[in-house]
Amino acid sequence: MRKSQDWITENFESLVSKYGGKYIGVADEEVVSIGLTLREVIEKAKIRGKEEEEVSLLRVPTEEELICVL
Amino acid sequence: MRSIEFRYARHRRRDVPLIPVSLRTGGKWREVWAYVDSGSFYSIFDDKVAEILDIELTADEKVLAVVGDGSFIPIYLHTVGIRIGGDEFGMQIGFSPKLGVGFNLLGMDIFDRYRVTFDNREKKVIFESNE
Repeated sequence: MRKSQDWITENFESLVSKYGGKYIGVADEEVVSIGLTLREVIEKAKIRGKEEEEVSLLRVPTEEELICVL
Repeated sequence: MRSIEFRYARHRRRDVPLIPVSLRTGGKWREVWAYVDSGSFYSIFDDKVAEILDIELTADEKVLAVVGDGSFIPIYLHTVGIRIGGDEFGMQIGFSPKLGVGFNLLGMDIFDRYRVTFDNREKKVIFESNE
């Protein structure tokens, strides 16, 4: 899990560009599922053979949301 | 004293103190990400997080919080297990269907447990605990 955490931190800008506004699941240093809800992301990750607890779940902010927060 | 460190994420040359936390309500741990926000009184998470924790959103205490544009949003408070780094403890978290900021927020209530340092020079946020 720690590797996926580091991977998300290192690739955050790219994730915002590709997946802003969506929920994603990350495992083994790659995006394994994308969805409009976290439950959908978990179900898709399970279909790909990932254990629920090994998937790191992130609601990726949009560029606009980041501008507002920052 | 123990400390847990998280490197900042970066976006357009700006630092984003976004960290992984795990939550559970008795079942499996779910790792989600939250923005460390010293300007938020409560820790507030997206209602989709409550959904995967099998929390009945409106079953517990409701409070209203003022957000940036001056409007009020409903927050439903629930006690959950939380894990940060290797630390596990129970904590009241707010969940809202109207959060609308793009992030889950880890607010001032977590600062009761940790000394939190935003180390911009080293690009990391540090949680220190005496426990």
